[in-house]
Amino acid sequence: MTDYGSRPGPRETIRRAVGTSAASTIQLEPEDGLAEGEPPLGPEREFTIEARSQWKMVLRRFTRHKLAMASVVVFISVTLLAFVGARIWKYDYKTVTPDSSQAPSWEHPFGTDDLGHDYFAQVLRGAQKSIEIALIVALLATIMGVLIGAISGYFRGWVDTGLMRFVDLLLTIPVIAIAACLGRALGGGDWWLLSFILAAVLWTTTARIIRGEFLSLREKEFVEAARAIGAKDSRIIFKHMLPNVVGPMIVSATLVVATAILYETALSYLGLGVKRPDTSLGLLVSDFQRSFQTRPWLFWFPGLFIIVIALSVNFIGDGLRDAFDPKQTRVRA
Amino acid sequence: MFLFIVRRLLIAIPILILSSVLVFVLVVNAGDPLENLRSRPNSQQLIEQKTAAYHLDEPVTQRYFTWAKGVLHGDFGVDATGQEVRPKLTRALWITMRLVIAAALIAVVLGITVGVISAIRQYTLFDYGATFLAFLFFAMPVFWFAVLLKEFGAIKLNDWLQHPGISIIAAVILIAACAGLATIIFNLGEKRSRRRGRIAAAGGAVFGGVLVAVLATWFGDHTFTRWVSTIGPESPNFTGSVFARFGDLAGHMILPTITLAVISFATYSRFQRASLLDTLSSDYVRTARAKGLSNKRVIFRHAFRTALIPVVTLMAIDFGILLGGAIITETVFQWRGMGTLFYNAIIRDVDVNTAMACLMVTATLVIVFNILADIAYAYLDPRIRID
Repeated sequence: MTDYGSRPGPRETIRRAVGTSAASTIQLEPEDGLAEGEPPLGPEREFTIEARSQWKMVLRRFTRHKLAMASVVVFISVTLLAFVGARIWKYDYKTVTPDSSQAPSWEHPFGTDDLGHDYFAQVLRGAQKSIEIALIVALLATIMGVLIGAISGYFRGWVDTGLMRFVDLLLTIPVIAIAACLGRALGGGDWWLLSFILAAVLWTTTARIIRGEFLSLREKEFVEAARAIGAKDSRIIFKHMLPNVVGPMIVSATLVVATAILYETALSYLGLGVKRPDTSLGLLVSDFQRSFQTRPWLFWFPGLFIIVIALSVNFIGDGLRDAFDPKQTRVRA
Repeated sequence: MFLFIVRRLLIAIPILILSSVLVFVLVVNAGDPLENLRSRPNSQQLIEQKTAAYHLDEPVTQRYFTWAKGVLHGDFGVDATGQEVRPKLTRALWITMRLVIAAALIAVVLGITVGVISAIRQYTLFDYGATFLAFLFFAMPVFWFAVLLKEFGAIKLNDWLQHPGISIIAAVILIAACAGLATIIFNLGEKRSRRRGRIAAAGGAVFGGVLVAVLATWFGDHTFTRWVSTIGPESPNFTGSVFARFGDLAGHMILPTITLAVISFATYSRFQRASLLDTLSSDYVRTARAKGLSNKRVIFRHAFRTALIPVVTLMAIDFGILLGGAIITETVFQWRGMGTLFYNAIIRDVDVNTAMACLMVTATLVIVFNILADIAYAYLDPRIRID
């Protein structure tokens, strides 16, 4: 809603008529922060108006959310570091070096563990696994949540009641408990199996959100029109309605990423997640929690990586939610 | 009201039954209960014994009905070592409930307070600080935070209590922190100004100075016991007065409670903030303001009650999450509560009866809290009538 140019409000028109720059009013809004870089609105601006599509507006709002953009940069750099950096780095996570239990140095930026593994390589490998798992979980949980939510909200009636009662049922059992049972049953260890398990328990929130959206969308005229010309249910759901819930879908997917990282680390901590010789951030924290007093670097680095990843993903999600929110009222000068 | 509760309880019964079926299937399929016996020398005989004792050769449905019949008679069966589950469960339940309820109370009170202040003082330093803290807590793995707490909240603190004293750097930091906090807190009121801030900062600095003086002189002459504990819910074989015992319990509870409360606190404060902001921009609040009511009255009499509704719904869901979080917290602090009981029942040995008992108690608690939330909901929202 930062398009001052497209539809000037009455105050704006008066100000322009009087000749004051609208930019001065914008700065009055503390939450604004979006006005910088905007050329001062001169009269010529009124003749160069271009209609913005919804997507352009969302993108524009998102790219002007400083914290969210900073988080995107941080997240991409951490991911690059984990995936590309780990290949370039001179040590592999499996290599055992003769220096064991060394403090951080130029040779080993994060020190080494008791077996002589280079800890930087280990942490990068852990981050790699944690990010991979989180992204796959987000993808699977979103697909499942959207499908179930869409079916539930579109068909209503007994389908809806049944599915939603099932969701209620799942909520009576702690997520960790379900994941623990499944993890033990399927043997655990395999990271992709872990992603499936986490996706199987984390889809419920997405399903609820999408169902809510679908319940209100199905009453809209365009859905009625589609039905009137004889479109099939599947076509209405996927072609007509789904594009309208992309916003909530993306937002909840980012939030699932953050949740999944924390659950992955928690399960690995309990010994149900990723297993040696492979490694994950949760496993590293779990293995070295007792070395805090003697070799604190073994404890700090994986934890800080978890926080940085989860924090940046959360901020991205927050920025996306603001960008997609149609009720967005901030910054209307 | 009575009818409403009866109706909700009646709906709860099928949910509980379905939940027990689901959980039973999950737990039974979690692994091989005979795994630990296979390597024993007289494995054949042991396996036969266990199979007979736990009906392992029967189909799952039959085992479920045997189990359910027992539970209806108040019998939760025996665990993997042949001991009754019930006394163990009662003990563990008491320990866990103490932890979870303390954590929930702290999280609710602090979360709502911070959320309300953040909302009515939007975009102040306090709001930014609270938002940052909430996001940090969301992103922090519980067990990692717990290890930090153990190190700094217990071991270092206890060491310090043995030889209290204060260095110059610590004194400066303490005074600055007091001044800063005073500035933020005293500027939260209706009247805000630079001058007020400066006076508050000065007052805070004086307070900090007094604190430093006390710490350096009187406090430094004493030696205190190692009060904060990191292991277990209470000292074993503790003898002492009721008062001392209470202190012992508190010293053991403080860290696990903080660990567990932190995430819920973050959730509540964010939700309360969002929901109050939403309410404050609604038409009826504008009407109340237009009538000329004082700001305080508008916020606390008109907006606050409505803004609590989504938070109350959240609390019911969050209670289940807290119980799940207890599994990790209890592992970290070595409490022998329900979380540990469940963890051992699933990981060490597939101990169906113990695991089932734990999960059924959890499910019952979640359902009860949902009903309580519904009642609170109806009380808060005058449009809902529950009779």
